[in-house]
Amino acid sequence: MSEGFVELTVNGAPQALWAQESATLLQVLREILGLTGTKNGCETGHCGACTVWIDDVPRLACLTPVGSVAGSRITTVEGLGAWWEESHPSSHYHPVQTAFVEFGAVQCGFCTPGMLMAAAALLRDEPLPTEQEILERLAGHLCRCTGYEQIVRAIRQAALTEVKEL
Amino acid sequence: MTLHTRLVQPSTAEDVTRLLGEPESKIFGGGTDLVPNRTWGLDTSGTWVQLRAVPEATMISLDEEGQWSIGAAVTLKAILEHPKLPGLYPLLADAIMAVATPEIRNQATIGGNLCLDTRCRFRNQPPIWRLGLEPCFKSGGSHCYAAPASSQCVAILSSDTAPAFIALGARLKVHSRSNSRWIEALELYTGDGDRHLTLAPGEWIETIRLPSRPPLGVFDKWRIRKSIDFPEVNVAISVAPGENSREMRMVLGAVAPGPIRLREAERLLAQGPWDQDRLVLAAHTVTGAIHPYDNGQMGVVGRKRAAEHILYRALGKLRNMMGEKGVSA
Repeated sequence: MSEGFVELTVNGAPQALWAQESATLLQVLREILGLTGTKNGCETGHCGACTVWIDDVPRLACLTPVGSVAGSRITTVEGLGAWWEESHPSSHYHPVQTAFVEFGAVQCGFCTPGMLMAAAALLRDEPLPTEQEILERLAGHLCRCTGYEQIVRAIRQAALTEVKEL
Repeated sequence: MTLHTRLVQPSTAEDVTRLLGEPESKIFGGGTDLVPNRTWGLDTSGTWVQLRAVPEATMISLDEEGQWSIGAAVTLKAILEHPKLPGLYPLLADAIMAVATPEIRNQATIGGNLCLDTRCRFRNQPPIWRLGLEPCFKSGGSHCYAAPASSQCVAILSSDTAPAFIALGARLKVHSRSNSRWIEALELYTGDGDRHLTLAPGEWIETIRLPSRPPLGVFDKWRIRKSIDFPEVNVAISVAPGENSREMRMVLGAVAPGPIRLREAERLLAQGPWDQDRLVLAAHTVTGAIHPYDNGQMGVVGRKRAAEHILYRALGKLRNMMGEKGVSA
């Protein structure tokens, strides 16, 4: 069987989709579920624009056949705010989302969803990362507009905000 | 993109072997190499066989003789996060940390990195780019664009962990239809870029076994972008101190269809103390030992110079490490 129902939990909602097993998770998210926040950049794993969380681990949706993650819990940039809100009911957005806006860490915005997912995962694992740790975690994310300065500053600020709240 | 590849998850080694015996079937590790190849029309497998339901292929375990085994389907992330392995085998941890990006390491498997398909700048391109070229050896043709006089494919093995495992003296458990056998890591590679693995149809790697006494070792890599790229050249060196002599392995990767053991440099370093001149001389032997082609991102001369440079750098680092551990150089 190369085609069939694939069950996933996407941003907290259970989904049963009819798809080719070897179709990428990126194709399923964007073309079947209409979740176009996850961007289709290079389709070869070089740019990081399609980063999503698969069972809470940041991975590249363009390199992931949907059949290989059947039954998994997927979080996309559309669900990041809701994920944060579960533990912080007063806030609809993750602190990195707010900080990206405050620091102008977005220009064309194409890399932003991937950057946000990587940064939020970093802050979850390491609440107060050093600049070096941030750069290492963003190694797989290309941004052709900002020069990364504002992005790193925004993530540092988000970390400080988050730590202050704890 | 063709979307008709079947994904299967057998739960026993026997079923994996049986499924791999079917035409056009291939092991699927993390997909970080296979899926982009599929996207660009370079992989046309009918079936992808996943190992994640085979217990032996998904475990990191320690046997009674003190040897660690890593299942082929274990992710690079899992090895880096293991409580013991990175501390015991820093050479391996450094090689894994040099692979691609955090997201790719979260997904890619160790068996997949060892069996990474060979790459060439004349083949690993989008379909529209390749339209202008007649097929090369690896694409079913009878020509090599990187080495026109060559009678075989010279595509590069870009694995970072292959030189590390060879330097460590790791052994691989290969499953076949009739039995299973152990091979040295270096025996996995044929030296032909088209069919670069010595595995026969239906054969596959289940586990990688590390030696019980970890040697001292270093890994180094040269690439264009430090954040992500495949190596232009990489090197792994290990020294296992013995009572009267020491066993040394120097392995260079990413300059040929398989890793290369630098035996001349090893001999030179075994002949006397590691003073500055000897390290320079040993590093220089690499220029005669390798014959890279113009199929990477850097040119031939650049890759030879990079190889010499990282070899010297790695030897210096290893000498310091040996000094700290009280091992005579």
